[in-house]
Amino acid sequence: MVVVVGGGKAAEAKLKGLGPFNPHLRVIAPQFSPESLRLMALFTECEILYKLWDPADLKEAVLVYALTNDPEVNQAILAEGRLRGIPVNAGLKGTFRSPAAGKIDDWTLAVSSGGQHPSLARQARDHLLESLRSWLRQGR
Amino acid sequence: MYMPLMVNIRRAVIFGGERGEGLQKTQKLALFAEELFIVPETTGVSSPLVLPPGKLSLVKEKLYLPQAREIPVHPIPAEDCDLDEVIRGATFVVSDLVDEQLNRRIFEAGERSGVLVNVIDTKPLCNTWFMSLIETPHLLAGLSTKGQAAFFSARLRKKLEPLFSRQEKEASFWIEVRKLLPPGPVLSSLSLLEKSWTLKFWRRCWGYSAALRRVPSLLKKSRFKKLLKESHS
Repeated sequence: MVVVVGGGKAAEAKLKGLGPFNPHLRVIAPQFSPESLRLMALFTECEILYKLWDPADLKEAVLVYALTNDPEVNQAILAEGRLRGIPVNAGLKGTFRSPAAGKIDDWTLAVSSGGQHPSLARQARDHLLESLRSWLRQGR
Repeated sequence: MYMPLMVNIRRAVIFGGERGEGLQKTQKLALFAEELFIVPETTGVSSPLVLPPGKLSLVKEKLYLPQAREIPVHPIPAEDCDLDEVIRGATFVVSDLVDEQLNRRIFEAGERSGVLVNVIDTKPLCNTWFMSLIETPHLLAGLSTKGQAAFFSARLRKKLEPLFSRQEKEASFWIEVRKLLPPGPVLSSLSLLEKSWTLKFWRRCWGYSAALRRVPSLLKKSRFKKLLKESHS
């Protein structure tokens, strides 16, 4: 299960990125933006919890995204994840990063700039995916 | 469904890993893991495994080890050691042991502790896959078919490499541009510069170095300052 803590712009961007992989999702925040609610509806399995985060929410989590606008809360989530051995994404301080990723059939492509220039990583992914798509078309 | 991640590997435990595919994974992990630990097979090595610096020729990807790395070896072979104890605190576990029963026990111990596990060439005993990597100084790309067509993946990686090196030039350029920006809203400035036709024109016609020299004058232009103010408000 992937746990996302936060319901604002950052959560929206992450939900968009998670979309193609359709994981079992748990999203926690006292309130959500209309766009994040729309994106959550696209997942097959999604628990929406209207509440403040607490450590018990990380039960069964394999990945956690700490995306609140309070750095102290994000830090607390990161500490709890470290304690439980769960990888946590909390901006540049987390224990894992989500690369810009894309899928074509069974192929998965991911590009990372190590958090230095995310838009460039996305741009590189789009270029590479386009080339991959045309090569796969030729190869089949 | 598998999702690509870039994980900060603090501690990796490798069962076997002294030859063949296992050694390749050890070499790859030597570049990324902070701490590596080898648990040998029953008849495995007992002295530390030393990986020489330079190009790791056995690794398919063009990855380089900046200095020699010594990897400690567990004194007790995998068959007799306490698996849960060895795995505790690890971020990632790899096994290339011959003993299938032992591999299953390693996988189960990893699953119990919520650790990422890859038993080489045994798909049902993997909750994590290595991607075929393309690395440049500023970008890292991974390509995967979940182990379905590794040979094809390597071929495609070769095709993508030249394209990726062009992306690297672009990445280096923007990282240098970033250094030239005045303190303030860096992302807004970068986004405006990315849209700048002047900068696109200079990059295409005179190359990255010339375009880079052009950036300070662009930043001083009143039109740029006005657009930046508008985007920020």
